[in-house]
Amino acid sequence: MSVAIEPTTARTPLPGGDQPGNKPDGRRGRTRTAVLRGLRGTPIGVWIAAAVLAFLVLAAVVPSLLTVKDPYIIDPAGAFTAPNAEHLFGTDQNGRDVFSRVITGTGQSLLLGLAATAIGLVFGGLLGITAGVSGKWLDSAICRFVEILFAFPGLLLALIVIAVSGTGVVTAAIAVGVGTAPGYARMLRTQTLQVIAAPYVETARSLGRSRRHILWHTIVPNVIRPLFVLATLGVGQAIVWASSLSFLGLGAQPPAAEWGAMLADGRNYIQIAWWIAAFPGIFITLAALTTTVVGRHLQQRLEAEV
Amino acid sequence: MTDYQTNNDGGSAASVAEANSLLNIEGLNVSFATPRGTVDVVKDVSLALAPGKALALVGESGSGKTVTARTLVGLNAANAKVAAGRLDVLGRNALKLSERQWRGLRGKDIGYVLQDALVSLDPLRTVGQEIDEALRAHGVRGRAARLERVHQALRDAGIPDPEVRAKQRSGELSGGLRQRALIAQATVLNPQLVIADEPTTALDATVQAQILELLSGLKEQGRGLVFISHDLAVVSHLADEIAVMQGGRIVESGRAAEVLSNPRHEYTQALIDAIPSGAAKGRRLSTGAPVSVAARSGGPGRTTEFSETAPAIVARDLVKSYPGPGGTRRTVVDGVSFTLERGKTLGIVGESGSGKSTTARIALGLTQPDAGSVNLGGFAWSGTGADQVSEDQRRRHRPDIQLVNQDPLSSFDPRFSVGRVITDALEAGSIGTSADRTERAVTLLDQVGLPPSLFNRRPLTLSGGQRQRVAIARALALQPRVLLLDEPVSALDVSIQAQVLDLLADLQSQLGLSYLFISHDLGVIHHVSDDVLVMKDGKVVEAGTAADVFTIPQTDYTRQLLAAVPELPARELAAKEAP
Repeated sequence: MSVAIEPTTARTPLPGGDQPGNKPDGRRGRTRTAVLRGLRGTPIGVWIAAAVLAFLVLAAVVPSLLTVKDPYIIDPAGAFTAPNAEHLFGTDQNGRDVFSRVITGTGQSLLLGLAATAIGLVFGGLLGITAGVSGKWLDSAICRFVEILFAFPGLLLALIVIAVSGTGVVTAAIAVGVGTAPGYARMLRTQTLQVIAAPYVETARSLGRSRRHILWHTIVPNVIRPLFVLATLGVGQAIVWASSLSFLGLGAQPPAAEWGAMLADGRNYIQIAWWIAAFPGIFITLAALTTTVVGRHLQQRLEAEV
Repeated sequence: MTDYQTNNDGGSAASVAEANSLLNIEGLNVSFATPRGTVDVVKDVSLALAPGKALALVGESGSGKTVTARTLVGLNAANAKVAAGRLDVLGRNALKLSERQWRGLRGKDIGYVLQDALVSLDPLRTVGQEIDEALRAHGVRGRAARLERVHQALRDAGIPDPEVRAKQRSGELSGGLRQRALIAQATVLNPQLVIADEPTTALDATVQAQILELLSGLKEQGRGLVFISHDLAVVSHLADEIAVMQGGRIVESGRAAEVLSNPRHEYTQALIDAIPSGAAKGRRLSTGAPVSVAARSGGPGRTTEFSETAPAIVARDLVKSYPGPGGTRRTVVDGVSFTLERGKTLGIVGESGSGKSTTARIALGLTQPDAGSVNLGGFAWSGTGADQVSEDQRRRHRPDIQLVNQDPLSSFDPRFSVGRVITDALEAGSIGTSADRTERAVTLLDQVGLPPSLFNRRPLTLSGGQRQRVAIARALALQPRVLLLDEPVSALDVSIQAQVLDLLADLQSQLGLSYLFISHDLGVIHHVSDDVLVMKDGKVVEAGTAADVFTIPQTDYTRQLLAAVPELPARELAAKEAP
């Protein structure tokens, strides 16, 4: 009779995953629970965040689905109307419907956030990956440069860009992108160094792969892998920064329906009509909060996987 | 709760269970609630332990031995459900103990030595602080008095200079000292019962021998010892009683000498047969059928300049040093020479820090030596000065030598599936067309005993043994002449290890491969090697045929090393009577 130690049948995993007894399979157990947690045990908070985020994306893509009112029509007679059935979020000092302005502004705010993040990632990524791959003096040079950028607070860096190239939406996106780039550069450099030191890169070498092939087919894809998650986390921050610039009058200009600009508009009337400033503010918070919650969750899942 | 049955057919456990017992467990069941339902991990386990005795729980990963041990200290996960006909720990009904009462017992009356000393000590705190915490938690007053006890515990655990060591952090200690520190932590309050989970796994043979001595000292002091191990040779040196676990059940239990010399259950027999040793040389260790490479896919092979007459590897006077602290240089490999004959296995054995892994990296052409040269199958592979070989020259020959290391998972690109891991290797060697690589990969999987159904799986979801097989299949994809096997079975259970060793032997005989086999395990080295190299502090201390080195060792160091290896008592003289 043979004994049941078959090589190919997967053994029953220990529940709990982290039992120290199954050292060789510890990782397997952990992933299994991670997948379970990911699919079934997703915390309710993440579901709510995802739902709100989906609503924001919908508002950004097809605002007409949510509001039929023109966000720019001025109606002095109906100014400062408190929230009611007709004007869910009330009207502002010019009688414009705050709800439709907030919804219309979603597109601009999200787009600004995405564009700024993309610019930051590309700029930071180029610096970080180049530094990590090249080593020696180029690495030192890039690191020193990034450290100089780090010496300025991110928002100040963005303000410098605007001071040089003037106000506007496009400049705001570039400015925020540049402001966040040093952080990404540093993260991606570390990630690159980790991937280069990984045994699978050495394996590629001993399989006889060329340096160039290893760089483009092994190192870069593995460095970029966690970027998606990083970007999700970054968008929230970028939205807040872009709104800040608009609030300061450096980004989107009135009468544009943009959250930061609306907030700046409404702050003069906060004592008589709180809703003008409150609702754009709530939406800025929601956008930042939901992207961060969803991004963190994705990050945890990815980390559990690796 | 009266309906339980003991499946303890050893008979002896019942006799010690009577008076004054530390453990008296009948019909223990532990299950875990998971989102997919309840999983039973420990089923109907009965154990007993008297003071001054040692009980070994033996079995593979997932057999439930760790969960059983954790139940004895009340440390199971929150989703665990414990039920038993009887669960008396130190004479108290453990089923009724509150968490607060458990805390009172743990550390003070029951010492728990965690597995893996490397991660079980807080890297940011000194060893002294770690041990002091146990004393403070149990209300021992007086800083000076506690410090004295910390030093005493470290001294008792065989740590020299306890005053110095107590001020060091775990990262500054060697593996053996860390394990001793953990034992000191578990025993500082003089518990009657000590539970140790794999206390010697991952330790070098000589260090392991010292730890085993320390543990049997605890036994002589009249404490009871429960320890977990998958290494039957270790068990035979320490245990009075053995309980063999499989799938959550005890399949066999009884007096140690009896179980080991006269196993009644086929699973116990298989575990004993799976132990690699010199005696088992040339014999299959596992019960599986040998793999056949006959089904090897046709088509053009890789062209190679690998010589059919020269030795597979000739290494001459390799030296490698790294910068150390304060401008000094630390020589890791110091004048190492060896020859690996074609179709043979050269085993390199040594303890951690002996330079064997650096030697391997030089042999692979991944590390440039400071001096010396390597010749691979008749062509210059690595050298210095005028003989220096550039990576471009080497790349052409890289397929001839492939690596299989201890942790296969880390050597797979995390994005790849099992199939992709292998087709990628085929692509690297320009073997086959993109169309037939899938078919070749399936054939390679079959060669290492894996079904095609694993093709699309992620390596992460495979067991340790399966992952190692995938790594071997990938290494074979390039049709190499030499495999460098760096601790290929060290992370595997003994029965899985047996299967992988058998697989390697089959592949060697059918493909004519040459193996450079690196291991700290003398039993494994003795089993697989034709020739053996013993390394210490970067130097070769002894070299010769396996038969010579293991039977008539020429140097004191080799003799020490061999003496430290715990071995199963020979079947005939299994008369270690329990007093």
